Order: sequence, then C-alpha cells, then structure tokens
Amino acid sequence: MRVLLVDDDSALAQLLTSQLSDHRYIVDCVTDGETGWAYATTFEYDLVVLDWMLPQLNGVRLCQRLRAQGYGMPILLLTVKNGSVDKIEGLEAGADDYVVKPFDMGELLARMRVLLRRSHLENEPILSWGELRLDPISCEVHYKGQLITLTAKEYSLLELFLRDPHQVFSATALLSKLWSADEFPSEATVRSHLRRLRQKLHQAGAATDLIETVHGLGYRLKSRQLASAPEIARASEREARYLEGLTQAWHAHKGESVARWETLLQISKTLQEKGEKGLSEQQQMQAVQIAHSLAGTLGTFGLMEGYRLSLQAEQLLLQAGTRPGSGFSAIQAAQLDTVITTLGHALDDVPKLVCPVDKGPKPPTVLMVDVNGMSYIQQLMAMAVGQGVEATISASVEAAADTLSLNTPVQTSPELLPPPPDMLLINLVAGETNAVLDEPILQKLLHFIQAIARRWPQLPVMVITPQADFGNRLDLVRRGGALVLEYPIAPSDVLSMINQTLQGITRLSKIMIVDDDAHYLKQVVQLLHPWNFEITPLTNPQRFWTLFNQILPDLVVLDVEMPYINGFELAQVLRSHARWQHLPIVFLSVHSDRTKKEQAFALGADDYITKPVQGKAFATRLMNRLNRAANDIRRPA
Amino acid sequence: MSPTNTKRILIVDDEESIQKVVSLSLKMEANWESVLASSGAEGIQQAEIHQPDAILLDVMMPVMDGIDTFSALENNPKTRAIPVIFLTAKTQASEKRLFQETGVAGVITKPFEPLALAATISQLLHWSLKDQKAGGRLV
Repeated sequence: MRVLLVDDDSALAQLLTSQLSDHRYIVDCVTDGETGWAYATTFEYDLVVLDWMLPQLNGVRLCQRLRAQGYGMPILLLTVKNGSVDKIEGLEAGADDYVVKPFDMGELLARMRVLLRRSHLENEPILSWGELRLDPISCEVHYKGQLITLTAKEYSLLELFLRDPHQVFSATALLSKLWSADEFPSEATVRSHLRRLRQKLHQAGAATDLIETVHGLGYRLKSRQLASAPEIARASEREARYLEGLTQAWHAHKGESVARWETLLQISKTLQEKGEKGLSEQQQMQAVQIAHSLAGTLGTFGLMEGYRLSLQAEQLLLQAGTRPGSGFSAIQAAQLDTVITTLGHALDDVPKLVCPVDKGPKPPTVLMVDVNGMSYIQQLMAMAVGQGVEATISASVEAAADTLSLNTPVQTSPELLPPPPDMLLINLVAGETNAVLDEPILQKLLHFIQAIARRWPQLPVMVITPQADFGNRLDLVRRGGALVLEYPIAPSDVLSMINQTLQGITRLSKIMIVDDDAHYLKQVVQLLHPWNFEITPLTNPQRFWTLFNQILPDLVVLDVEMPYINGFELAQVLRSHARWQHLPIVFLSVHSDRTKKEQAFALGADDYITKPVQGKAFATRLMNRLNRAANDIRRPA
Repeated sequence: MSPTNTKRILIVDDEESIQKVVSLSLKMEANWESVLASSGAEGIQQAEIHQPDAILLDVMMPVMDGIDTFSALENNPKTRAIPVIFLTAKTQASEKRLFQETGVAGVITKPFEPLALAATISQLLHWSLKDQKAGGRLV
C-alpha cells in the first residue's frame, strides 16, 4: 500500500514514516501543501495522510482542492485542533477521517486500515495463491502453514503480485509502485529483492519460480498448471487430489465432448460439401450452442487449447450468421473445418489445473482479408492457428468491415465494440496463375486499407501483393500499409513476418515525460492511457538523470521551460552521451515560435509538438518516433 | 439455510461433468456441500427444498436458460432471497455487463480457477471464507 504523508513537522514525519514503513506501507513524505498537491495528482496512492497546518496550502484547502478535482482516494487529517467545529470543517472539506494529535500509533494504523478496507483495497481478508497465504491485517505470510519472515519491500512485492495474480509487472512498473519518489533504486535493485523473496519462498517449500520471469516483459506469479507427471508429484496434496478427481471425471465424460466435436465436424463437412445452403438457421444456432458448451466444458477441465478453438469455432459460426441473406462462403467453411479438425487433436490433451482466462494472456489475433479464396491464404491461416495465433479470414471487404465494426461511428464507446485484431493481413493477389487483381476490386481493397489506417493508426497492416515496385509500395504505405510483401512468397515466410510483428507489439514502449506542471503532466498521462505505453512522469528536472538511468526509456518527452534545468539543457545532456545520440527526443511546449523550434531541432530533437495536444495525434507522433527508432536498430549497419 | 460452519451451494448445469467438477472444487477448497440440478426447472425445485446459501447457474441450458431460471427464482417468494451467480463460458465484457444488469450477485466465467472457486464466490457475496472455515458467521 502506498501512502502520501504531508506534514511539515520533520520529527513527527520521520517517526510516522518509520512506523508506517514497519507496517509495510510505502511512504512518500512531503512538507508543504503545494508539493502534496503535485504528488497526489502525479502519483497513485492508496491513502493520503494530511496535517492540517501546512505551509503554502493548508491541509483542509488541499483536501478541498483534491476533492474538487474528483480525487477519490481516502484522506485522513492529522491535527491538534480538537473542537467539534474543526472536525466538521475537516470532514466537510472531504476528509474521510480525523485523528487528533497527540495520537496513539495503534489507533492511527487501525483507522488507516479501516479507510483502506472501505475503499475496497483490502476487501479480501486473506490473499492466497496455492499454498501461499498473505494476511494484509497481520502482515503475515505463510506457505503451507509455515511463517515466512519478509522485509517490508519483499512483503510489498508479494502483496502486489497476489493482488493481481495474472498481471505481468515490468521492473519499471514495480519501481513506480513500490519505491517512493525519494528512493533511487535501479532495475537491478528490483531483481535483487525478487531474488531474495524467491529464496525465502523456496526455503519454505515453494517452487523456485513461484514468481516467474516473463522474458522481455517482467514478472508474475506462475500459473498453477500441472503439465506433466513430475509436476503432479510435486503439487500439493489437495491439488493432486483435485486433479485426480478431475481426471476421473474427464475419463467418465470425455465421450460426451467427443460426441459434440463429431457433431461439429459433421456440420463442417456438410458445409463444405453443400456450400451456402448446407445449414438451416436452426442448425447453425445449434452448432453455435454446441461449440459454446464445448468451450465451457473443455475450459473447466483445463484443456485450454480445446477451449480456445471451441470459442473460435463459435465465433466463426456466429459471424457467418450475422450478414443478412448470406450463409457460409467456401472460405468460411474451410476456415471452420481447419479450426474443428485442430480441435479434435486438442481433445486428447490431459486435464490440468488452470488459471482464469479473463485476466490471462490472450492469444494474438490476426484478421486476413482474402477476396479470392486462395488456398495459399487458407494454408497460411492453418499454419498460424497451429502456432497459437487466432487467425480468421474475411472473404470480402464488407465482411471484414463488419467484423471490425468499421462502419460504426468513431465516437461509439470502445467497450461496446469488439476489440480490433492485433494485426491485419490484406491479400492483393488474385490467384496462383493470374496474380493481378481486377482494378475495381483492387481499388476497393486499397480504400479499405486507408479506412483502417484512419480508424486504427496503430494497427499493423501487412499487404501481400504481386505489384511491389517503388510506385506501388509508395501508394500502399501512403494508404497505411505498414509492411508490404512481394508475391510469390512462401506462407512460412509470411508467418514468420507475422510472428515478428506480433512480438514487436507485445512489448510495451517506455516513455519518460518531464514537465514541471504536475497537473498538466497527469492530464497527459491520462490522455495517453489508451495507447498502453509504459509512462514515467517526472516533475522535477533535477531528478531527471537518476530516474532516466533507472528507467532507460525508449523515448523522452520534454517540456521546454522548467525551473533549474530547462528541456533544451536536458536534451543536450542526453546528446552529449555516446549511448543516447539516437534516443528519440520529443519536445512538448506552449511555445510555438519558429526560433524555439529551430533551436530544438538544432539540439537533435526528433519532434516538436505545441501544447495543447490531442490524444490520438500525440500518440501517433510518439509511435512514429518509436517505430523509426526500432527500424533504425533493425537496419543493418 | 445450512449450518454456519459450512455452505450449501446449488449447482444448476445441464452438463453432469461440469456439476461434478464444480462440486469437487467447492469440496476440496472449502468443504462446502453441493446440491445438483440438471435443468432450470429442477433448479427451482431444489432451491425451494434445500434453501441453499447460493446458486451457481449455468447461462446456456436447453428449454429454460439461466436468465429465465433466474427470473423465475426472483419471482418466487421461497427463493428470491438466495443469491445467484451466473456461470458462463461467454467472456465478452458487454455480455458480462448484460448479465450483471439482470441483478445477479455475480458472474463467474468458465474456465474458473478450480481451487479458488469458493474464494471467488465468497468475494462476490461478501462472505469471509476464513470465518466460515473457523466456524464463524457471515460478515
């Protein structure tokens, strides 16, 4: 739990910080109201503890200002004022509780816990993962009933993992969540704490990789899957007994799932033989229900590949039913057949203990648009499905637009729309013998690429075309094609390019933004939230170098005018270092005059953006810089 | 209702295999009892007789689906006080929200984490699993 303490009494603040740290809280302590405001609106806290009498901005005014801005975290006021009028004033200013000095430390801690519980941050009495138990009230950790003694930091790390057990936390994210703004740890410090925590857990009998490293992404609790006989042997008795029961139940009922799969396979074969008129609406809905129930059953037994493929089959069956008057095209039928055939193999998997899929990693998705039904694309799709990519084919531009909800208004709430795929592949090849598409169809596809790029500028669009000379390439990239592959090209090569692109988009880009205006900085961070960057905000340019070397960002955004050290000077420092000659630097400033811009570019800036910024445009410009930097790295010297 | 030191959960699912796995999970994790029903109609009947502490209700069932069953339970004075949790293989956020809008106490998506199912139910219904295991009461 992270707490902001605002108190100008340095002796008391020191004592409180020390006591709270002993009780596993991460404490940021500041001594005046304005700095308190800057911290509260820049960093995330679970609780704010405010002294009433503060220099610059008193505690009650700060509290009012925070609440007026919609600040929702609990606030506790500390004061020597004991009159009921004062208490009412404090509570009416938006404080959640009120503790009079001198106070008993135990009472303060109890009141803090009540506030945290009330804000639903401590709504689980015990956090658990397998045999591991963490009690947030007593701050005790047990593994198989054995008490484990942890340091405050190790405890906080474990608590964070347990509160979001399927989340992958990068070292940077751990730094920002668990270290206070006054500490200057590096990623190596995080690794060292993690190593000690793993050792202690292991000594208590847990697996050494209970907290596992996800290469290139970070750390998370290891999914409790039991994949092999030796693992079963090591599992706790309870898990082993459950698994035994699960396996018995699967053997007793596997026949039912196989029968359902056979029905689906039969439906799929009928579709392939009879084409569009192969299924009545009722049969189609029955098939949807079978696929759906099969997904539920296979998921419950831990046959996750089968679960995924059943859901994919359900989706394909539903999609084919949504276009009025249209049944299944030959391509859709072939696609369904591929998925259902692969599903048959997945039924031979053995039951496993699973983690919930809601928060688990989802397979990457690729939508392939192929208007001519080439067997080449079907082969590619089958290979992609075989490698765990959720690939689907749209047989027409209309079907693809429908799948992507391209024609819904842009302002429609994203929650009401299906999420776009991770990648789009457009086939501009007419066929094996005559590869060039007819002009009207080609134009339609090109307009579609343009519409996609306008709607989702960050969505990678791969194009396969027989016409990949300079002119055509230029036209394609202008329309939004990110990667142009010249046909003929082997499906395995295309798949390898798909995998490369998908890998690139799964890694979060680290961006550091330096602006002394904490309020503005918070708005910028919120503005960029939908683009899933890993953002490190910084208000004090004097801390730039320390934080920069901890984060090692992929890009920095600098305000120009800042106290002590301005943005230009920070850029000069970076460019003076051999390692950071090519790091993308973007200036974000209220100054729109030419002189300032020229000065910025002369210093080696990659972009200069004038405030105010619009979210999408700003994110796109940052992504352009990141993509260019990534391409520079990939380009051979 | 069941004695305070354990829970009785009615599992309504047309698939026997799911009934088995869910009841096994609840038994292993929290030593809870299960009452089984294979259809919506049977579920209503069993709820009236056994007065379970909660009902886990599959959404997609033939004849009477989970939503209709829930509506019938809500309109039945003998069962309306029993909290109902939907169990579904559908995972889209909009569908989950739709289910929640019916007024159910929660939605659990299949596949669920088997040895944390009782904990998930407890969390949704604001029960304290620790207290129950110790023979305590609802909080």
